[in-house]
Amino acid sequence: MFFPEKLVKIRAFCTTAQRAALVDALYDFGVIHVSDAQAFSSSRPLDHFRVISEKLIVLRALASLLALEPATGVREKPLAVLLNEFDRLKVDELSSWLQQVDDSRLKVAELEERREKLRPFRKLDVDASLLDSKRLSFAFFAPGPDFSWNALQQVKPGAKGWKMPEELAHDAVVVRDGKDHYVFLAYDARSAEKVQRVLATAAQVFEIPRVSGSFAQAWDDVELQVQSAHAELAALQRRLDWFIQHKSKSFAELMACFEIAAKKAELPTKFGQGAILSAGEGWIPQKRLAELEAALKTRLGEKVLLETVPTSQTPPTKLDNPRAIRPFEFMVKALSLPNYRELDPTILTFISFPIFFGMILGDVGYGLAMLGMALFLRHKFQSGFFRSISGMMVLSGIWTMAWGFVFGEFLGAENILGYALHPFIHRLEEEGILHLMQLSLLFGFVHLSIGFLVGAFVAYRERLLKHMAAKVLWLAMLVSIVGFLAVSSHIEGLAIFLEYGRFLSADSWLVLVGLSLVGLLLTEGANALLELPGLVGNLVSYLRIMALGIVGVVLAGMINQIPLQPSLDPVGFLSFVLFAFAFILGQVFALALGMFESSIQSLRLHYVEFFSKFYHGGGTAFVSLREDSEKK
Amino acid sequence: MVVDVGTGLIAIGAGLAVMGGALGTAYAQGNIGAAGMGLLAERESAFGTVIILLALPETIVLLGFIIGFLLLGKIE
Repeated sequence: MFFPEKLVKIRAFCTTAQRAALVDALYDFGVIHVSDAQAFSSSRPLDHFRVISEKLIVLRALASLLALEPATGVREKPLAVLLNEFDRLKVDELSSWLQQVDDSRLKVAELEERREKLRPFRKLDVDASLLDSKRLSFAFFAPGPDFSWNALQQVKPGAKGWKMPEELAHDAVVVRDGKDHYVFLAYDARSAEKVQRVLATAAQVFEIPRVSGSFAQAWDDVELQVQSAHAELAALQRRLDWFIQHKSKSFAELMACFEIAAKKAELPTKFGQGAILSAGEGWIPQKRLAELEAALKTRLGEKVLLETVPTSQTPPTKLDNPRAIRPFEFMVKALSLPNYRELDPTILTFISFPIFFGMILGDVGYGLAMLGMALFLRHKFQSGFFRSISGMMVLSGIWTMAWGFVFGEFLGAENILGYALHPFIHRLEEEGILHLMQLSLLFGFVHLSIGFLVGAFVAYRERLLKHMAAKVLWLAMLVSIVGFLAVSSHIEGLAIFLEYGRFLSADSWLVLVGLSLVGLLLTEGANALLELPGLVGNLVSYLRIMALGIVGVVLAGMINQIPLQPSLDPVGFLSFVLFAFAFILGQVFALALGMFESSIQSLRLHYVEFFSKFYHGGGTAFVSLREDSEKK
Repeated sequence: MVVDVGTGLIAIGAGLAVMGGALGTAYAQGNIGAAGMGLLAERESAFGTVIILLALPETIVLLGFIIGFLLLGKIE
């Protein structure tokens, strides 16, 4: 609980022919962090890895297209069974369906694009074969507000030599389509440049699509094609949906099984390979060594040799906390995993984080809301980030309620549905603020002192005696500075330390400060002088507990000023509804802001002020070969 | 309402303490936030570090607030 779990490095030898059996045995055992073997040269994966990886690539690609996640908690199956299921599930057929769906979507998109191009022409009952004329050019446009027929008339190459073909009957056909109207214009090809110039400024010109027959007929044809393509796509999609609905669970389970099979088949790449022997290495919890020995004996009999490997390598870190404390591991990991040999601060965080959190937020109503949210998250998520968060929220919510009773606050008010609360510390009165300030500094003093003590203990454990002495001297410095200031400075915030400060006179405290400083200069050199202001800064930093608490209660108080008076009068009732909505929204905002700030600032007090006294981090995570092995 | 010069100066001092802290924090958090988002895009595991770095300058405005609050307490 205070330190990561003790690990031991093992090496298992077997003949090359027994590699697969060794992999099975290690996987069944599960709680092993397999490392690259130092013995022999590097090995190859198991023979069937190629088959598995080929199938897995197909499964992963399809899962990605269908947005499916691999199933969890599946049991491994023999390869022959998996290949049989792969065929039975018609994975190749599914792959072909997906391809058909893709092709069909592409076809629909292309047809719709053609339809959009034809849309302005749908009422144009002109045979497109006329467009083949060499003497004439054609334009199709929507006249803009500045369009003038006169401008076009002027570009005609005079009355002479310009005549529309009789088939068209007119030199321009005006097409009306609802509110829109378009012009299909035929003009002398020699005037093309001038006509295009006129149209470019006064009309929206459309590219004339190539069609056979009339444009109106082409529109009808493409409409039918679009409808048919949509129907085809819908049929394919229905088939795909049916598969997703009925087979996706089996598919996800099959993929998870293949993932396991691939993991096992690939494992020997970490093994060492000799002429006839293979060797697998890894870290396991020391207390489970006998269990592994027994498991290997059962599976491989005398064909395996297990030995522990003395090594100077740093083992990975496997945290070892009781279930109730585990949610708080997330906070330590977010900073950095502890080194194998150092103290795991999760238990300390478990104790102090909720207290600080609750002290900042400190409200019975908000605490209840947090508990409700935590229970919802626990119900919704069985593992992962939100599960951890819910565990933290339960404890933080309880402390928030407890401090809420101390501060006498319920959603920022001093009563619970009319029943008055009697605050021990009133956060909006001068005396209460002073008490809160003293309490914040006291908590900071205790927190920092524990940090130095833990730092000294960790240093002693690693036989770093000079380092240990420095930690003790920093603690002495903190104690003597606070003692000196308490008896000599008359700072109101330090009044809580007055009784303790009176143990010694101001001069004696000052001598202790001097002695501590000399000791620090001897152990840490001139750096100690630079870090000295930081020590006072660390203590003052805990005043944020007070400051954030006041900000929170002021915010909640402002929201509580929203008038909530139920009324039977329609206008009064409407204003009541609006005010109630604003009140709820405001309280939700205040709670969200309070929770965010309380977590961030409590976390900061731990990471920066507390952990810096003893914690280094930088550990490598212990990764169990089988993810569910811890639950076994 | 008539206040003497001393009271006015205390009130101005309280305002300046909060304002200075807020401006300093805003400037620092703007830069740290931008850099932090860049870091997270590259390395998601640095989330904890980014949060700490982002929370560090909040000390400035919080201490400014405390100073401001204490100064306001001096006004009779």
